[in-house]
Amino acid sequence: MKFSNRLAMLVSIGLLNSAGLAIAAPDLLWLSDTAPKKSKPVATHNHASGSEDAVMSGDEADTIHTSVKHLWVRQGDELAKAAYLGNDVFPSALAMLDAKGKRSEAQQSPQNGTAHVKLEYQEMGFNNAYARRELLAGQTLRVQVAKAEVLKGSCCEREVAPEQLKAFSDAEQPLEIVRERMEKEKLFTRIVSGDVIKFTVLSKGQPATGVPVVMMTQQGWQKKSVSNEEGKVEFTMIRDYFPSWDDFRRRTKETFVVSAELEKPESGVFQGQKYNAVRYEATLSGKYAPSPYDYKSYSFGLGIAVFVLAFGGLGVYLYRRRRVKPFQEIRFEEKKD
Amino acid sequence: MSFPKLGLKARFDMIDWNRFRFWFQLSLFVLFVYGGYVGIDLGKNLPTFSCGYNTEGRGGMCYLIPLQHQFAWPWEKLFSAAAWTILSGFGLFALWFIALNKGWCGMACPLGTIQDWITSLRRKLGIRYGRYTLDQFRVLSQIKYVLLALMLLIPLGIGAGWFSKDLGSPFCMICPGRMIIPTLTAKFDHWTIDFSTTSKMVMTSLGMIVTGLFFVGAFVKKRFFCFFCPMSALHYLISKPALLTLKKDGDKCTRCGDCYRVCDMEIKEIADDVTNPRIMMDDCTLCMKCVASCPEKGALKANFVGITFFESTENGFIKRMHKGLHCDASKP
Repeated sequence: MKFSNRLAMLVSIGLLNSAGLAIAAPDLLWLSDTAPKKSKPVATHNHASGSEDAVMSGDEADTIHTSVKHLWVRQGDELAKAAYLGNDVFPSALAMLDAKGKRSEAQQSPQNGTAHVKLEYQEMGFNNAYARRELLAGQTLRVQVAKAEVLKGSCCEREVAPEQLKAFSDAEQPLEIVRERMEKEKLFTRIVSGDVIKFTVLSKGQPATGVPVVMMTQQGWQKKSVSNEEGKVEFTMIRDYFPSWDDFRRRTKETFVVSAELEKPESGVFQGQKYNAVRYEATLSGKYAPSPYDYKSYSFGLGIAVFVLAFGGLGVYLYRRRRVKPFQEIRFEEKKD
Repeated sequence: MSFPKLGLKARFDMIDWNRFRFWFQLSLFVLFVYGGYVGIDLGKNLPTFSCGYNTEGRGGMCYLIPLQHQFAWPWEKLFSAAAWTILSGFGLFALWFIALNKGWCGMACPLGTIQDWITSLRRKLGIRYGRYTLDQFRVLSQIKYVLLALMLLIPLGIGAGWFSKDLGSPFCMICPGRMIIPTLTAKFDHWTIDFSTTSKMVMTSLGMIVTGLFFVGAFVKKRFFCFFCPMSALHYLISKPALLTLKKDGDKCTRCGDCYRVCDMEIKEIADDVTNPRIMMDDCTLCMKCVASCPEKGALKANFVGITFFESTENGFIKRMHKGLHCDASKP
């Protein structure tokens, strides 16, 4: 690890301890469904590095409809530049959980040296994927659990079992963030800027109260909050996509990551070293898109319809009036012989 | 006063057809526009404008949406085993279609029903309706085939990478059903212009223009939009094996022209053609108003699987023309 990054990490951990609030760490672990650019460097050790994210181009492939899903393990709290971990750094399989409670493991299929998992689904609905890593930082054991919701969705299918739409959690995870479904959310609903999205923080399946939670977006915006007595916390998605109009792409999806931290005074031994506290760090990643209100106009739409209606009606009226022939009485004079 | 008992068919021949059709249309309108609220889902291959953009209320989905989606697949997928999906979807569409033939237009289409209601409003206001000249009719009735071709070719071009994906579902973008039908379930999302790309802006603007024209046109011209409907063109191309048919017995036709006068689609052949027993033309919506208005017994017949269930009769004609007045029902 570079000295500057190590220093930044130490500073951030120090701030975290002193302020009692979560601050995203440079080695934040999270899952991404965005493929790295070809030139993207692969992290061969535990620090963040990289370049601009591929999704910024707005050319991201459809990740909802397709049966085949991909996940990469990434690290870093600067989401646009977060590194893709190499499969030598993160060789573990991902734990999978479906809506019916069925567990499985997804083995890695490394792509260009990155830690990568390929998943295939036939059934519609959400599936949870978990990547777990343990690190020792001084006397504290850090247990990082990165989670992603993998959705096989469709705008057309309606015959989906209701449990496939619900948010679900893994009671075995020491700390987990669950995104509550939005009102009327279906299998093709996008999160857009301006949406209020709600999360529940769970520890071993039970609501965790007073846990600091940080929402961070690809453009670098961060907001902190603390879970209430029901473990709930909510954020309004920021509007932070302001390209020039020619570059605007409504299909652009940007990444957000929500992280939560919970420290417990648990002691033990990890890789031969003792620790006297365990800090559980959970992340949940997702995507959000520009709000339709950014590029759709009701006033223009209704204006055009009303214009056509009014002038079309007037045109028909005038056309009909023009064709009305005035009554003309013709009198024939009968000759009287 | 007592009347001799009539058989079921004879009684049906005497029916007030317009009233029967009104309730039939209303029932299917509720099914297709609001059926989703009670869990009805007839699939996504319906041969009628049960608009897919009415995400909550629809009782099934218009087949043109999945058809355009599938035609926009990349060609390597389109010309692979995945094409079976398209064929099976088309097969289901055809199965639905052959049951009612073009009766899907005249009896089931929610957009057609709305046009009929607008026509009723115009009639109540005492405003006369418009008719096309024969030359106008010939030109206008070809437009639906052009739209059908564009509706399939543009998605094919998208799959080939020639056109922007923003041109996807091109007919849906200009179909007034996209705006009007979701509105009936308090969903106003589509009354907008999408400025995100030039293609979207053009297509959504066209959609709003067509919607404005739909209301003006339907007010002065019966079934105005049906002349341009690509679904109607697609129907006609596969109408031969349909179970519901309209038959004409030219020997019994006196060419009085009543059938032509009541025809919403102004199909002249219905009165003039006395040689072709399969009289259903491409613009026909199988509304059966021609059968109801014909005074000659057996000149026009509506058959289902070869069995006549409704035919023109003198008594039926007299009863319908003199609503509420008695006619001698004992005569054949």
